[in-house]
Amino acid sequence: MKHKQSLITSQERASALIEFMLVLPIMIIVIFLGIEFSRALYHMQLAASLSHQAANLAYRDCVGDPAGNPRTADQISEITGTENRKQIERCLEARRQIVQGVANRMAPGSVITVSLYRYDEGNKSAARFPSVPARSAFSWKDPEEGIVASSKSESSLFSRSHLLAGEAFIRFETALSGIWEIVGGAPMEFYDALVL
Amino acid sequence: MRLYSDIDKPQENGERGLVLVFFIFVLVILLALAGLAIDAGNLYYSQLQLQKAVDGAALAGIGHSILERNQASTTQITKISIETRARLVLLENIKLSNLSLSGTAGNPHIEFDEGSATLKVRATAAVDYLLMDSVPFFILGLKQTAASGSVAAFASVRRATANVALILDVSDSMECPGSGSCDCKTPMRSGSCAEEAAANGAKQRIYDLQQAVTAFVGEFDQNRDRISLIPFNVVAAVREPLRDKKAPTNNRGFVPENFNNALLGLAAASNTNHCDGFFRAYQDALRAHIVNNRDPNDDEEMTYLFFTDGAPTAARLLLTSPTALPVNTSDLGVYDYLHLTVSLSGKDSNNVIRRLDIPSQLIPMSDKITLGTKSSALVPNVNAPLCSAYDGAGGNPFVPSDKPLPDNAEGYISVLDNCLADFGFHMPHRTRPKYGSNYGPGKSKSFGDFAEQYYNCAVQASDFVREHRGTVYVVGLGPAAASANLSNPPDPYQDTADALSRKDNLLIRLARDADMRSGQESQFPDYSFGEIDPLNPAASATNSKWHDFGASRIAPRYGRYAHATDSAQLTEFFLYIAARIKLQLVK
Repeated sequence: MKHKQSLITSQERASALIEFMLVLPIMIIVIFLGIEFSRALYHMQLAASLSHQAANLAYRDCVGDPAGNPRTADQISEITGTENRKQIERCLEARRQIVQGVANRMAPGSVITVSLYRYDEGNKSAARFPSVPARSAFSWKDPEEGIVASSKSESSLFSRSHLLAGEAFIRFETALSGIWEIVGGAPMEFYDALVL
Repeated sequence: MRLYSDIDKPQENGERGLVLVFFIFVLVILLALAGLAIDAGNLYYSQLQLQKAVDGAALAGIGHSILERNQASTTQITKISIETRARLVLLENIKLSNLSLSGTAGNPHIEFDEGSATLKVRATAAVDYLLMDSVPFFILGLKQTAASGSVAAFASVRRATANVALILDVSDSMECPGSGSCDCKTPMRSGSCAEEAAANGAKQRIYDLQQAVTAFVGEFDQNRDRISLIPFNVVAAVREPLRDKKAPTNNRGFVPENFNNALLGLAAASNTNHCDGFFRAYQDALRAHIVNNRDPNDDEEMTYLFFTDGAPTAARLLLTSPTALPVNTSDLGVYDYLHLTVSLSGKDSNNVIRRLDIPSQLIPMSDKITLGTKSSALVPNVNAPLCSAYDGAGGNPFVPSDKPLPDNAEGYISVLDNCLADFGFHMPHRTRPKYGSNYGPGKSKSFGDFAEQYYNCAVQASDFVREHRGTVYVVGLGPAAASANLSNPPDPYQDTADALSRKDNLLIRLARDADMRSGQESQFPDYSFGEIDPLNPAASATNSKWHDFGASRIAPRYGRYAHATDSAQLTEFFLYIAARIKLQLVK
């Protein structure tokens, strides 16, 4: 007889095919997870970077602004807006917009906030200018001891009892995020913050 | 016939269980790889967080030293206070990112070096391994890894040297009382300005300005920073120059005592010439090698603090001859400050005739014309040689024949210093016989015809210095604005009845304050540098409008404008600007 004997029987081929079909989805999932994990790492890094930039920019440009600098301790306790405060709010909002623009290009749907917190011993913590109130997640509990000492005698808005917080909520969209959201899950976000 | 599948089956040859052994070895390696991936990622992220915390702590420490001026007491900001603030911010950030500092001694290490004004922060944190510590390496005969790894971060910030030019208005209105009306300048006056100020319970404006200057100067380091004092009215002069950066010794610092009473010896008089102030300050910075020193390693910057209480009412119009004033205003463009160039031709050291066009803004301001002191009125020095005296044979109108034609900025300064008496001042409020009878009140030419030039000259001057590594801060002194609506400011400064009533828009534009846009910026031309042709950058550098001498073409530096209504605010704004200058210099 001249015809070649195959080393792999047709039955073995068939079972190999079926085994491959079982393995295929798992393989796809593993590869997908690998790719998404790297993307996620990038977004986490983006959150760190943008919150750092937002806090830095706001701190350098807006602190000590004379129009926003009340001259008496009484004015510090005002919560309602006054002309003095508006200059600082404008300044912070302008810096926030700059970084928000960067975030919109890198990860659409992200939110950057820049907020000024004053520690109020009665309320435990109060955000004075939370730039995006619904989103600010930084809650300043149990501040370090040196920070709030003699806060009443200060007349500068940016002083010992205040902290400037720059936060970034970076939206992470996966290939399946549409399905995920239909099912009712919240959009995945990476959060980071820097306080100055 | 036997098929492959019939022979060499491991089971038949007593080799069962081989795969399992292989599998266990490989499993350990796989776990190690997975652990590497996960824990390395974790460590990297933790290092990132720690670095952020350390950077933030360093910035906050230096910032705290600059911002925290405790008005209640006179204690200086000490090294301890800086280090404490840095430490507190570091701890807050570490709490935020769920790290934990490792317990080794000297962690975190925070040190402020007063000599170089540098703050260094170093920290290490321990990060628990997630997978690496449970990988069973002992199977392969290797050691187990430790339970946690550590990451370290380091940050160092310093406040760079400040170079500040104080350009201060000492025009006529500065003699007025700091608050209340100014009857002493009107025919209805009943006493001198000093008496009127005392009657109002205030001091004269020039005195308030002096207080602000003294406070400002006290905020800087007299051994490291450079400050100059350039008062101006119809002309600017350098009262206190910047120390020369390239001098072998004594190239930094200033003498505070020289500033403490500098303004009180000057007579507040005459018009307000904004652009002379800027250009004089630029010239001084050029002489001190702060700007345009062509050193690629140099990162020092120049700051101009410009103070005025009124509109610009004079500018230096470059005239080739005092009597050659144009009759028609349309001819003004030929003579005005902004576009005129002076051509020099002469022989260089190789006896080759060379021609140089010097743009008008580099024409230096002569020392021969001094601000009036209390004992003498403002007069130009009629004994200064006229430029026309150099006309004549040899083709070297301005350069002594035994010197080569200069091709650098320092050369221009010395070349033209002698000639400026020939360049006239334009003061249309007063009739000067020297300029002919067309100018003055009631004559065919009036203030409004030239006021545009005074404004544009000031804008040009500030754009020019901004493009040579400068930042401009502006403080205006005037009565309180009637409305607090900052988006539509009324005009609170002197000469509000003037047709060109856009004084504080001018001041916002001079500072290029990005946050206080009034919507009026388009009223002023933009004198920023010309475009560089990317295909031929060398050619476009020489073709650019302003004959660039090496200015860096970067985005404009935005400054700040502050409007003071009384003496307390004036001092406060000067202090705020001092703090801001220092904060912007933190690197």
